[in-house]
Amino acid sequence: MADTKNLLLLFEHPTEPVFMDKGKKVTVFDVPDSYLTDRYRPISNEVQSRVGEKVEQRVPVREISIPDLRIPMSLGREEQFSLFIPKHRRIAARLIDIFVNMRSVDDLQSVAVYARDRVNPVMFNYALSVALLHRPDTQGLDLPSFAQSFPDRFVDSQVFRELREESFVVQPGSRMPIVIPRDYTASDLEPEHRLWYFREDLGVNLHHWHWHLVYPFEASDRSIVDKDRRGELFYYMHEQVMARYNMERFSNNLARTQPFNNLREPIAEGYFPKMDSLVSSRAWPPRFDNTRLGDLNREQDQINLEVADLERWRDRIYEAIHQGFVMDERGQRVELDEARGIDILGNILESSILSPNRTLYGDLHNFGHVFISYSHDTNNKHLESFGVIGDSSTAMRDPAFYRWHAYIDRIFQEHKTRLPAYTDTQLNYSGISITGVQVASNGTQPNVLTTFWQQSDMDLSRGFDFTPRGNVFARFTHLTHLPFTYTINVNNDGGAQRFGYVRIFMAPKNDERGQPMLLREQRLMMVELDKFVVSLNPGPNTIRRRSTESSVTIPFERTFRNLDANRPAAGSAEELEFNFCGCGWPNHMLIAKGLPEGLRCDLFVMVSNYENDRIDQQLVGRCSDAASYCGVRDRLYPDRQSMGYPFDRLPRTGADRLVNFLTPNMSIVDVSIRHENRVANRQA
Amino acid sequence: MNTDLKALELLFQRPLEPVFTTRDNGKTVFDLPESVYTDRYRNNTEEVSNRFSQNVETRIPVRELAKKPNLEFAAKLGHKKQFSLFINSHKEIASKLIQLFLDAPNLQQFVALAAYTKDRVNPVLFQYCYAVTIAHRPDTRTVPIPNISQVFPSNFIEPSVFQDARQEASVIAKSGNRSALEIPANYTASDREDEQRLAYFREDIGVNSHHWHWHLVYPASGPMEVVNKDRRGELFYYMHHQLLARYNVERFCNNLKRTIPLSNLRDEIPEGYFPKILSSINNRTYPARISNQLLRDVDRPDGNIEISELERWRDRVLAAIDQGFVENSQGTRIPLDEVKGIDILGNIIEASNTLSVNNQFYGNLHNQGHTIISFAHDPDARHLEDFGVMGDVTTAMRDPIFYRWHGFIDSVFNKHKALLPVYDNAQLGFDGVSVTYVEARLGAANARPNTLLTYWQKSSANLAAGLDFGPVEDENITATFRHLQNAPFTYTFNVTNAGARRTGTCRIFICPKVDERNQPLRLEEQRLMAIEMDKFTVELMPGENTIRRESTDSSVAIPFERSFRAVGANYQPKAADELARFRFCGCGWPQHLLLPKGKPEGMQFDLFVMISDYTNDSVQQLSNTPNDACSTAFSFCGLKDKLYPDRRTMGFPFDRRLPNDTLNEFVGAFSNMAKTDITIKFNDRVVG
Repeated sequence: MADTKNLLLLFEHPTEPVFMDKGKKVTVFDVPDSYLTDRYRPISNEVQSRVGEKVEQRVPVREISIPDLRIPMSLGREEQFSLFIPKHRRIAARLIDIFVNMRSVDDLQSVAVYARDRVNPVMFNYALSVALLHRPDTQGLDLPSFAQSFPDRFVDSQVFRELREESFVVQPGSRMPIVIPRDYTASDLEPEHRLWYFREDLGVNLHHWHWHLVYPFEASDRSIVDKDRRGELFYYMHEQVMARYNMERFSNNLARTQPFNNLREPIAEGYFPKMDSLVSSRAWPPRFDNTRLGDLNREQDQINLEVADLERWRDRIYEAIHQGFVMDERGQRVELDEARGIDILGNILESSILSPNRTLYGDLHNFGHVFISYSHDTNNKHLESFGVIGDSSTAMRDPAFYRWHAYIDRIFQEHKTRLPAYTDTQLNYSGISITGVQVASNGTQPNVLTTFWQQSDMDLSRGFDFTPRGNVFARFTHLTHLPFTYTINVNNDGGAQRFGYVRIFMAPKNDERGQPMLLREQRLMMVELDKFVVSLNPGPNTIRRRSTESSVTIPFERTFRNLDANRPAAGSAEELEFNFCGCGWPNHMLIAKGLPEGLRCDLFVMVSNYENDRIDQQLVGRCSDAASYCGVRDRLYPDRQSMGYPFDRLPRTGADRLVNFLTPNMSIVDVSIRHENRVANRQA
Repeated sequence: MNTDLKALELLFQRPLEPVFTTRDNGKTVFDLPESVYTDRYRNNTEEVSNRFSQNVETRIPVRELAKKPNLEFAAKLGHKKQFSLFINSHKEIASKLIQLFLDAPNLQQFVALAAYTKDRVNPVLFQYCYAVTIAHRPDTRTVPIPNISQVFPSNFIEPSVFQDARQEASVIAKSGNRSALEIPANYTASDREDEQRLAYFREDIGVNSHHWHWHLVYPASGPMEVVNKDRRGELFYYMHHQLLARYNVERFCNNLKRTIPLSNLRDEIPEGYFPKILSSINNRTYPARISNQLLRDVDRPDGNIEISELERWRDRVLAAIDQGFVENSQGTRIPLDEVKGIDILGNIIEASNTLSVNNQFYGNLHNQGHTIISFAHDPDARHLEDFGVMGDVTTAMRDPIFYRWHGFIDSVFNKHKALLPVYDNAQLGFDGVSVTYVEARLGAANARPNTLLTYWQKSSANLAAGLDFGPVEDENITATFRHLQNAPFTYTFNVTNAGARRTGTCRIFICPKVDERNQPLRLEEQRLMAIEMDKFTVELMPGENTIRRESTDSSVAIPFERSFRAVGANYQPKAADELARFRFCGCGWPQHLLLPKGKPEGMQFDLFVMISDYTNDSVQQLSNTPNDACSTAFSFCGLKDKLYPDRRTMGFPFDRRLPNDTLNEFVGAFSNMAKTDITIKFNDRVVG
């Protein structure tokens, strides 16, 4: 039986032919001649023996009859692949199907080897990743970071020229990391550029890509899409991205993002990505300042839609929200109630195949991406592909992403604000009270968080094709913060041990004008920092929790991962922990940048009654450590409350300000985030 | 062979690789003094020099520099910045570097200086200044200057080809098994874009490399001896005027109307352009311009320019033309007369700061127009974008806006020309000489006279010299591409000379007969679209003379191989005179575009021939040296180190108003002229 780990080698050097050497331990696949492409079949001896000299490991590939790949091959190898384009989704879904349905790992390996040189490389990566995540016999595989297979989607194209020089001129041992310039996409004249470190962060973009890997919105196998509360998670994850982004804007003296609610108005924010796609040998097209959306008519994408179509879908969704129900395909009303409403709306808005009526409610969110991404060439006159916002691994780089999602979130909030407010009784946990909250880093003033810049290296050699082998490192500069610890004092007045769900949020105290915010506004900026279960003994309890344990983040190493170093022994419990879900907010971005003089925030802690929240299921080894934004693989979302609870609805009457909102099981503390403009080095 | 000359030749190869890597397909390295290494490699000079000298055949010693030059002046232009001949600050840097190179006391010191400088300044700046110097130093006359499309192929070729080239070279060892890569045609836009019909012209490798080499021969700034060439201002006018005529005729061939001069800088520019080519300097794609872009004032660290400045300069230049004189910086009036007027205007408009009579007053119209257009996407550098293709002479002609801008520039020149007196009989006629028969005929035996043929051809270009950090031992990384071609043909003229033996200048033009609405063109319009095909002197014996001339001998074009010349030694002619032919030949219209495309059903043109009196044409050259063997395209490029070899104003007789209304009346009035109708048929198939 094939070693499943060999499958991972297929992610390396995505545009090189499959028979080329791979891996740190030099490995080649013994590709049957009949699997070679026409270009190489006649000279198979020559090409296969050429790479054969330094091989340490050979992987036999069984020759099986190959399923029909005509549909997957109908997307050109050099085209740009986007999940937002329905035609591409259908093609990818077919390939996922093929991969998922192969009977054994051996057969999967054969088909994957065969398909690799024939289908679009990015789609191959996507489909194989989805298949490996969803096949029972390949779970627990440590998928390589997408950024290492396709570094061109994360890194200034200029860096590639230097990497090429370095790998050509200098031997592997003495190579120096290529420093990726900090501000390369725009200058200070562009106020939006102040957010470059957030929008262009490697971890943030990887998170978005992986989130969409874990939650595909289309597949012919419905179970791949139909995950517990996926529509709601779509809403919540993006709502949190907006809350975080707006907090970053406050950290840069900018106002909250303006929702892009008038599709006819020019988009003031231009964006020039300065990246080149290795697959298509084209630059990601820029969007100039003040570009307007236009009706799309792009034959080869099979898209012929008007801006008016988007407007109609939007109006119908608003109508459904205001009526309190949606209409399914048979004309039946489906209530948008407290429990399920947001999930249905999520599937409608995104939309996924779970949408009760895609004809009526359309595909608003996805097509917003598509319209913005094609605004520079609406009818393919100039043979230009989509801009960065058309691809889930690059979309978050573009300021327009946030304007669009601010609007999407506004639609969700339209529903949320119509739900009844949580009552005192719902919120309170009688007998449990918080007596004190503090955060502190080692050796610093309490309730002051510190952020600064850090440089981390990442090996890009796996995605660097047709160049001499050996590591080539790129050095990224990114935001980070001093790790800190929460100390929470909780009193249990009851006589028995009880369980609580600790929910920690943070939001700025004041708005962009420096005015204190009403809770109805502040709740939209509440950033979830952590959520975990505690047992409470009778009497006083002191809970300590480290920031690195956060339920929204994945550790630093998983963003800048080196697959070979620090890998726990195979089969050990640690390996299961290490198992990659990839999905998760990067821990180095847990805290907003803050201001040099300190950004004043409310840190909010609530202990809710775990009896009301709990979902009974086994969680061990299910890469549950970023569950808040990503859920848990093959499991229910581990919290019965609505996502974002207790801030997902309008506050009850009388709770105008956060301080009036508090019940005894909640507490707030003033925290200040201070930014130190210094760069620390760290080797990954 | 003199190793210094060899070294100079090799410094053109692999412009981005450090100077210590191998060149000449991995056969040669330089033996460099320690001081040449840049700081990046200074600490392990031994390692890198050993690494790259393992399998070499030749080591070329490079001397220690007598005195390290101070290169700080060039530091303003970063290594990864795009270099533009249209931007003043870049021109100043280039001018200093050229001076530095020219000042090197001898060949060895020049080699050492070039090796030292190469990795310390911007690579395109280096290649430009280096080539200009090689062309102008007396001791480097025999060093061939490679075609720019082979030094920086990425500026000319669709970028996926380079990815494919790396793949071929790294996967397949034997050069023999490699398949030639195909450079896609028509990749910048689809046929929804009308302008795309001209892509074969705008994006032709030969057209764009001609433009670069023209600017190499005629730098707009630099030391006086390099800039101040005979009638350079006039040639600037004429070469670009001919480009426009050819472009507009090409548009007729594609059922498009003439290009609209960009005379209103406040108007939206409907023509968008997405170049898709990738600069190898910074690995960034040349920025695009979306449809309906408005120009905006440019305010960037390397210069600022307002649209209203251009408008003021334009108005002052037009006022000077209407008044008939310019004023120099001392306030002295200089008449814009029949002889020198156009040259003065050319230098004013191109704004050679060295040669303009009043740079301050008449400004920098042509260059700053390029600049403003090339920065339309990011005028204040807020997005840190470099200029678009319009900012770079190797790429400017790809963009439809180039022709609209030059359409405007040309209209300014034409305004001056239209104010000059109509040519009179004495100027036009040649008593006793009459042209009695004219034909142009393909070489094939049974070819019909006056039907010419165009078609697509596939040719190959070698990318190896510009594939930096790629495989070294490969002499052949070739890519094939499609371009327009014309079947060679022969002109035959019968000329009767009623007098004694004398010399004439034979001037051949073709003109479209009808405009975009299929209305016959008046001579006044036709003359502006007359395409110069050839110009040569003929000896006329008393009585009947038959003159034959091959289309491949044209004085405007350079042979096909020069546009796509391979630099490898295998391709170099050995004999000394043959080698000389290779020199300096990049300048010249590509032979394969000598004829406009025509139409599949055939398109009618007037073939016009005039024999003028050589006594009025001849130029007394200052030196007797034989003509540079490469100066075959003198109509567009002049003669190297000599005066322009035709005393008439360029474009004669079509550069001024003519006494007749139609071409027929015109040739009817003068016996030394004749015309015939010819048909150009386009055969839509690919050959080769």
